[in-house]
This record gives sequence, C-alpha cells and structure tokens, in this order.
Amino acid sequence: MLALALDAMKSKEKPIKKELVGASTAVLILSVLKRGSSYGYDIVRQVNEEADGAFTWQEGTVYPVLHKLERQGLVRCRWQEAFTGRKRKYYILTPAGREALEADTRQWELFHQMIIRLSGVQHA
Amino acid sequence: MPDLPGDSSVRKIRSLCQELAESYRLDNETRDELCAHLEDKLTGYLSGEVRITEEDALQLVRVHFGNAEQIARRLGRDRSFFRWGLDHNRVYILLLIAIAIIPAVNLPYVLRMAFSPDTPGIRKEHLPNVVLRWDIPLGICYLTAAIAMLWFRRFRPAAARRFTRILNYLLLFAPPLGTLLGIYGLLKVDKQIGYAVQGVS
Repeated sequence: MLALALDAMKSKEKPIKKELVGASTAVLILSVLKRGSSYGYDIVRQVNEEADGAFTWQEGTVYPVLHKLERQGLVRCRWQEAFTGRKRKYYILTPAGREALEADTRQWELFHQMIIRLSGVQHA
Repeated sequence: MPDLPGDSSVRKIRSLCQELAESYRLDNETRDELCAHLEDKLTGYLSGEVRITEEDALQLVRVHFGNAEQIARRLGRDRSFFRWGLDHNRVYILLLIAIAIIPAVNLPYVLRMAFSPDTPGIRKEHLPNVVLRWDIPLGICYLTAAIAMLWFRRFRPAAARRFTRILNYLLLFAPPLGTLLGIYGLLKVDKQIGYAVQGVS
C-alpha cells in the first residue's frame, strides 16, 4: 500500500500538494506499521525516505494522527528501551487497523483509477 | 554506535518538552514521546545519519545571524537621511507626478472653457490665449510622461534609463518647473549603480 500510494503521488517535477499529503497521513502511517512495529521518528523517516523528495512530512504532525489512531483502536502502543537507554513509544497495528488499512487502500485504488479514467492520463 | 547528544543538549530538549507539556497540558507519556523524537533527530544529525536539508541549513543561517529585524532596524537608524537616505529617483518621480497633477486637475475646467463658450458665466474671451496654447498640451504631455515613466520604471527598468534621459532634455524646454526638473533629472537621476536595473519599486 505504501509503495502504491507513494508511487501515485511521487513526481520529480513538482512537490506533492500539502492537502494531498495531509489527507493521506493516516493511511501512510498504517502502511508503515503494516511492515512492523515502529515509533514516531522512525515512521517519519521511512515515509520521507520512500517519498524521495516528492514531499517531506513536518515531523511533529505525525503525533496527533498517531494518537488519534490509538484512540480509534487502529494501533496500540508499548514503551521499549533502545540500546542507547532511551525509551521509545512503539506503535503496533491492531487487527482493526489492518482492516482499516485494507479499506483505505481499496478506496485509494478506486479513487486513483477514477482519476486516471477521467483524465485519460496514464503513466508507465 | 551513533554519536549521542551531550547532557546539556538533552537537558535543553527535555526542558523544551516540559514547557510544551505545561503550556498545552500534555501528559507525561506524550511529553516523553516528543522528547525521544527530538533526541533521535539530534542523534541523527550528529552521527550524519540524517543529512541536513537546505531548509534546515537556512534555519541555521537565520538563527546564527541573529534577530534580522532588529539588526535591520539598527542599521537603518545608523543611516543618515541626507547622506544616504535621499533617493533622487524617487524624488524625481514624485516631482514629475506633482507637476503633472496640477495641470491635470485644471484640465477639465480649461477644456470646458475652451470648448463650451456658451456655458453661463464662462466666456472664452476670459481665457488668455497663452493658456489654451500651452496649458492643455503641456498638461497632457506631463501626464503622459508621468504615466509612461511609472510604467517604464515598473516593467522596463532598463529602457526607463534612456526614457528618463530623453525626457529630461525635453523638460528643459518647459519652463519654469519643467526646466528645473529636467536639470535635476540630468544631474541626479539614475546615478546610483544598478538603479536602472532594479527600478524604483
């Protein structure tokens, strides 16, 4: 899903619009967590790395979304100590989160296909 | 193992997070989570794992420069108005607009007198011939020149220099104000380096 969303959004010509990035924050976080548990800083790092300059997340903005996902029961968390001794809050995808991600992915695909059909633009 | 931030930096980060937590009533868990994020980021910078972006570098430049607004204000205060502050190009344009506006304001009245001799209370004979002969064309010329000058200065700064020079020579033949402005223009306008390229806006 992460690759699909990013491939759809990635463009070397222009940075992706802020509104589009904002609307996809939750689904991007869930996609990263599907790969395995992770903490805020690492989630941002992974997404920015995949985005490859197409957009850059403002790091702090990920936390309100993470906390919202936690309240919705789509992710759960646990504190874990790193080798440096620093404690980090790891987020883990719940079964409900997995279902939400699948539903969101389907919606993204439908939306993407509809845009392609309507615009008649097809990228390789 | 990556370079870890020093105790002093960690203390600063924690104090910042504590302030945020107090200001926005964040719980301790959220505060610790934000702290861990900032410490991770700092570690990333120190170890070279995170490359500094252009935006980050720009922020650093700003921070190291100091309060730019305050510095600019201090620099501005140190400038003497008469030594550096008098902008001849601006003064010239203002004067040109002023001498264009005065006849322009009178123009409708003069035209009415010239072309409506039957208007009650106004007779064409009251108007000296010199007014009709000079005031109307001169007013129109000044107004056109002022508008053209503003347009050139705004959109064609390079051509504005040539236009100003020609206008100054023409103004010499429009005494008394035009002559004075022409002399002033020839002596003072467009003398600053690069002014013609920048324009006055």
